[in-house]
Amino acid sequence: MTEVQTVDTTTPTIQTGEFKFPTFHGKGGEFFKIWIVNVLLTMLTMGIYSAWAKVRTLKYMYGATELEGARFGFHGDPVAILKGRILASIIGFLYIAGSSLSVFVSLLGVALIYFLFPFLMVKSLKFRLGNTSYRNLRFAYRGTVEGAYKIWFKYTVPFLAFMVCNVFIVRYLEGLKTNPDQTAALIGSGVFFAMLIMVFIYSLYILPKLYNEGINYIYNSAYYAGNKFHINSSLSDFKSKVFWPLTIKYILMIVAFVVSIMVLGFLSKSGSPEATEGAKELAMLKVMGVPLFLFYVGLFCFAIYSAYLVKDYIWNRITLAPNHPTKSKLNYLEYLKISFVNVIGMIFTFGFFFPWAKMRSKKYLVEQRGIQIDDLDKFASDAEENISALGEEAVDAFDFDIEIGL
Amino acid sequence: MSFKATYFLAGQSKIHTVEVELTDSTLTIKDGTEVLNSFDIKDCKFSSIIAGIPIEVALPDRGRLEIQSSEAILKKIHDLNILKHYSPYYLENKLRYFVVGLALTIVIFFASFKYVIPSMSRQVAAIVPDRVSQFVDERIESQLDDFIFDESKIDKEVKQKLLKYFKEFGLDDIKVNFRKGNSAQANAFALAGKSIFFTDEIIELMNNDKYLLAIAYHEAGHLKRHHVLSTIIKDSFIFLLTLVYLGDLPAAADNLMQFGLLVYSHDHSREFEKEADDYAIKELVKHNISPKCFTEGMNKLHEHYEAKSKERFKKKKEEDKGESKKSSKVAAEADKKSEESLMEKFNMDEKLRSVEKILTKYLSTHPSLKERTTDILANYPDAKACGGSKIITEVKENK
Repeated sequence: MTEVQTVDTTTPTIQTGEFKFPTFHGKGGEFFKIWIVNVLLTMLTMGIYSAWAKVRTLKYMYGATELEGARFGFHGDPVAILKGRILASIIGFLYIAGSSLSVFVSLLGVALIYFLFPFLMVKSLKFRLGNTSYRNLRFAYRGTVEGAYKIWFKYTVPFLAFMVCNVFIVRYLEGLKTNPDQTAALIGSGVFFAMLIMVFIYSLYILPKLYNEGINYIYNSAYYAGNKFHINSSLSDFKSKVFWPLTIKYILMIVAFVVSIMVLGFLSKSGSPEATEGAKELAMLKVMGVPLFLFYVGLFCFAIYSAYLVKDYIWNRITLAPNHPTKSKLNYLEYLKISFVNVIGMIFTFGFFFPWAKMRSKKYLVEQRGIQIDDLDKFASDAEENISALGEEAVDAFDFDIEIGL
Repeated sequence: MSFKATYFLAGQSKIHTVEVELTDSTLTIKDGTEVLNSFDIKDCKFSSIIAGIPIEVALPDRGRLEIQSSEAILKKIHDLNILKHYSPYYLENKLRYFVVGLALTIVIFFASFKYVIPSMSRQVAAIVPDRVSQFVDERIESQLDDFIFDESKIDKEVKQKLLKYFKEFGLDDIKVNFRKGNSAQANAFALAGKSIFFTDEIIELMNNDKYLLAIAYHEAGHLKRHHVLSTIIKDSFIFLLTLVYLGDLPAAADNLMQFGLLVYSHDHSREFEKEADDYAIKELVKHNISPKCFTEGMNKLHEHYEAKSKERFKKKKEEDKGESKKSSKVAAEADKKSEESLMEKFNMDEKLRSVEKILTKYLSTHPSLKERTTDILANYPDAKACGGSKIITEVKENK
């Protein structure tokens, strides 16, 4: 083959240390058409087309993402997604139908999800990353199913054992509660409350460990063109930057909700004794309504905040081997503003604003996260040796649609 | 004809800006006049076309091209017939196809919720084996017993006589159960298989055995039409459908949709009530009993709940008065207010609740009593009053 002369007009001169941020070209109007046709064909095929619809959506999203003159690509096989969706439907059906039929069947659904989760997670990551390309070179996920199970069981088994013990103790205490002896009932309620607090404290102890090891396992097993990604996240770092800020804000929000209801409830009670039943009901609605509305707004802000915090935390800690760190310029208020307009748009258009909403948030999230690369051309050609040496396993076995916010 | 493209050699990330020439049989990559590479067009794999996204071509030597999308390249690809699947692209981008597609989507979406899912659920419910529905009944029954009901306090003899009476009027294939209703109050309902429940409260309330029979027919109607099972199956279908159609909707939109589904679900529940009413009326007529036994029974129940609501209101008012008496003069004046004005206030409150009533029309599981009785009586204008009295259930009080 003839040696190709480089006509590199699209890429500007790259200086070492410069962060490159992608551009997102997705447009609401274009995506609206894709979305509607996807929905139509999915309905006409009784859901089977949904897998092809997913591939088309991902192809659009990836193809609309440009970094340094080249687009990302998605090459997944819809059949793999279909298999995942059939499995999800079976589990979903078991759970939903089961919850009406018997506790046992719905528990079976929950147990299935619990035992399959690490397997599905790893397979989905392999599928998603293995089918993503940039500049004709593939990403890959090389984490193993065994490794994922080890982390999963290490943290969830003690927690489950603890929960099961609690359930038995609580059952025993419930027996005490019905005891005519008042003291026994009192002790029963007391210990029950103490148990609840212990479960809460134990979750605070175990959850950050599970999350931190989880993200380490996910990002430390990802590769681009044979070059390894590495995440620099320690437990103390994760706790101080993500876990505690989120937990404290959540608790404060609930406390604020309860206190505001109590205060408003007190104020409305001390109001006119002349108030009629209906007026009182309306007043009650007002008492509950405002804090409840604010609580929902709070929950929404919290959901956006946690998504922002996790993305920002991760993208400020990843490095692509050998020395290409990533950087996040995400701003919480900006992201909240975009999300808020999206929700308003969705409400006023009965959901038809969805494609525009999706493009708006995608554009922001894509364009605010960059990577420091001095020479993309050289970097990739170095990597080619690695990729051929390691080889890639089949990635199209299965996809379970687990989003990890990469 | 040639097109601008970005070219990547196999396993290399370096960008080469090139021109691509497509003929009937070959794809040629050129840098100016120099030919860099040439392939048989059949060996080149073109990605599906998506508006606004470059067309990717996987080359047989593992190289890759990204051709900027344009009308000209799309026409060329179409003419060469090298893509297997054009349909989504044309549905998306030909205006008339898209408009038809959009209209069809909306129609199918509503039709599937309005007709397809309910009718499918009914058909599935009808073929569900008896032992499954019996199993469902056992589960629901044990949960109701755990959380709401207590054992019935009605005299055994009364219950047996009532069962015998129901049997005489054709209700021999259902299992009638009696429980103390507690928070369920005066009520009767059907489960999924063959069980119906009467609370002690409703038996004590009904001053005519025929009312109880009419209610039993209504509940039997729910059983015969598999209403509970259909609802369970319908909910599962809807869960699956929403998972498939709108899998990646954000949480806020999801909440909105849940509200929509709630309204939808209750709409069907009201339809089921009407069906059960129809069944009850037909059975009554078949057994030479006036349809008015059903409407009178329903009115009796309605009056009972109205009275209870008024009673609660009065009680609350008195409590409030009691409290305010101690504290203010205004309260002392309020004390003088007559029963009449109290009731006036009650009616005012009813008006205040009108907004709530509009909401409840769509959120309640049962159609309004007025709606139900008017419908029934319109079909039987000559129906006589129910007649009859409390005979069987009277035994209890005699004892």
